[in-house]
Amino acid sequence: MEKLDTQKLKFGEKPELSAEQFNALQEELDALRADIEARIGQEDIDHIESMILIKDRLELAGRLLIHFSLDPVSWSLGVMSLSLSHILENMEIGHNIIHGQYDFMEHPSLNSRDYEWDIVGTSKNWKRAHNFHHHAYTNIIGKDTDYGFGLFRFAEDVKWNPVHLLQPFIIPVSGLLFEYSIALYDLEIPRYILPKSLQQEASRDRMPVKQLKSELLEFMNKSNKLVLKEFVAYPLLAGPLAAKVAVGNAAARVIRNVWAFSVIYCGHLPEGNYTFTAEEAEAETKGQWYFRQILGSGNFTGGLWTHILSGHLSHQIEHHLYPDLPAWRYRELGPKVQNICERYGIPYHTDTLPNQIKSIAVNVVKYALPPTEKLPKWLQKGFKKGQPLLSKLQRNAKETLDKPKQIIDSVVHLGFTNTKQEGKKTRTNEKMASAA
Amino acid sequence: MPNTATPTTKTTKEVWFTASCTGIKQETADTFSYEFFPTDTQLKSFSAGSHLNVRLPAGKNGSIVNRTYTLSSSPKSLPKFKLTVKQVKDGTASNWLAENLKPGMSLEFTEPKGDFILPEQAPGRLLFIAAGSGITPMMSMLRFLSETANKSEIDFLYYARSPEDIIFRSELDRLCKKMKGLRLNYCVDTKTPEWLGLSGRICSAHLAQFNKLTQHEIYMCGPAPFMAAASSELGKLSVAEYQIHKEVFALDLGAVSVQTQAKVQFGNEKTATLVRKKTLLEEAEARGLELASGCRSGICKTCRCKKISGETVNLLNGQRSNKGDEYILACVTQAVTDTIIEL
Repeated sequence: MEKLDTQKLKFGEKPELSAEQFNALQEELDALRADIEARIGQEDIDHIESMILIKDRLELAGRLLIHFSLDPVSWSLGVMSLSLSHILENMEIGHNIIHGQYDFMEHPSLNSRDYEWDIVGTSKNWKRAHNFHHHAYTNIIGKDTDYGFGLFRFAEDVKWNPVHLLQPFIIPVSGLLFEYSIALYDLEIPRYILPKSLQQEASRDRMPVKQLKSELLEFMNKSNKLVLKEFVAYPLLAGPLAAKVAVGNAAARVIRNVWAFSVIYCGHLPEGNYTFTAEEAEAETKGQWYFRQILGSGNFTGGLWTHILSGHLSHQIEHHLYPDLPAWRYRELGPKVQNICERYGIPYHTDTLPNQIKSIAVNVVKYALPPTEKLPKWLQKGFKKGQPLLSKLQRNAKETLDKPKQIIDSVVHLGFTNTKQEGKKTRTNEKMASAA
Repeated sequence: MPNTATPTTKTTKEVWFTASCTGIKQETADTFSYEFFPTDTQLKSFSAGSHLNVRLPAGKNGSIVNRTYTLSSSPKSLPKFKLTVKQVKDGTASNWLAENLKPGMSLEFTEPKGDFILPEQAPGRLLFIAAGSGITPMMSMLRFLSETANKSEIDFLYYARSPEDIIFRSELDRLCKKMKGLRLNYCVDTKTPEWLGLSGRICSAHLAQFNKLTQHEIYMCGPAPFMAAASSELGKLSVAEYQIHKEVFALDLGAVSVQTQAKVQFGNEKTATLVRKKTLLEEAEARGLELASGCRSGICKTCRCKKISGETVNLLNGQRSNKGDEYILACVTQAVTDTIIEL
């Protein structure tokens, strides 16, 4: 992979826009929004309804195949079909409905207040953590809980702690069990367990323990029902073949978990996405808010089904600018937003999915290790001696990471894309816009 | 009295803290900034533009008077805070401060509050219009914004009697160099030969220079007649009411007149007595009753009290209150019919 020129884009070297440029940027982005808003209607209803129809059919096909299969091929097809249905439900349907993108329909259940999605965590907790802490405080270290409650370290600005050495092991496991990780994250469980010294968010108030207890109970109720359905009720229907159904259902969920995990990590954590301090965002205007959303997010390219199965989070930048517009419209907005960014000299970060995943994998390992210059002198000496070994380890890690990339490459391009798009890298920060 | 549930928060109990004066700076011939440092509490952060109440021994024989002043300092300069007060002719509190307050002396204050503040997300285009000491909330906002990452386009239109009366002039000029989006427009009543800026009263010509006025968030502060003139000029330029935030200083209730022959009974008084003063607050004070008050212009809500019966009129907006149990602001309310007020 061609190394991203991160030095040029590092923290503190964000493009400088004037007050007039920020206002002009805001007006252009507001106008794009108004243009879409004026057209919201039947097309959007048709889109979400067809997605629900496809999801229902995939689920039925998946469950029947898993139930009646007697050979590994039809069983695997069943697992694939069921996992695709889970993915559609979570990404394109659940995530987007809970964001309020289809509230205009005034539908009794397809609205942000009442929709309950098919993962173990409750919509209520997710909405609070996601809409407020993440969408409002995007990439502000210490406020955006997506930066890992101090347990993980994805940026230079987070102080290194020995616990970060564990992240290359914890993160992949958390991906397999992603729906549980999300539920614990939304309840801010790490904040009750981790030492205060580790937490970037320590200054913010925690939920009172009483409320935490009641919300934990709601989560347990929901997750227990899901577990009963997937791992007791459906398997029992298959009688002696119960194990086959249970394993199939589990596999479908794990596939969904890993996919959702990859898509979500790609949104904000690849190398080249910017982080912000609370001071940098203080008293920001709407134009500055847009600017932060663009710099803090990253897109990935792909065909129609890559976009749909990612819930259009492949257009993370557009999603962060317009979280409540029907997501399939991001496909139309993308090139327009990119054009605006080019004119203002704002980096618009987009790459292929495998490249973005690889970049994150490298970062997970890179930031797990301590910055040598910040260590006590005696340790620095030790590190100096160990440096050749360390670089060798890093090299090995990189090579190892290239292998899954090839696999993901083939899966993504064969399975999910209509047209194969070559690793296109678009970074548009070369010149400041002459937009002023 | 009906046995319905009456709100327990009759008047929000004011919590007072003590702060010691740590410095005094003369801004213009009749305007001084007073810096304070809280000695018995840690002041919570406040929003720029907030005001607080202060108790001063400025009355007859050292009796305590209550006043409301806007903080001119940025919330970021806490724990220290500053008040900037212009001396008013015959003004009890402003003259006491100018003549008697010395560094080291302590006064009592309430926590800052108010709704003449910037929204959570800073507006991209701001227009500040101020006259005289009405500059204080804007100064707090500008000082605050200059210490943040804010990139708003800010136009500041400030009216003073003469170039020498421009409060904070040197600091504003400094801020203007630092904040690329800030544009200053001073306007004076009395021109001096070397004055090249705007002059005269607020008029459409002064406002017409601002582009996209309908997209600005507008903050206005100054004496009531100035505010009325500014509002009417802005109205002519099709600025909407919701764009405008107002804080009135130096309220002039003399313009409003309601002819009455009402009797008022306060709290424990046994009988109702004919009203001699204009507002209920003045009336209560004339009778030697203790009624908490602050701004005396309907802003700070310190004098909020319960009317049990009778009809009253709010002199600010002409709103009548003729139902029984209702809360009124004593400092801007006049009795129309015989009225009973709970203290």
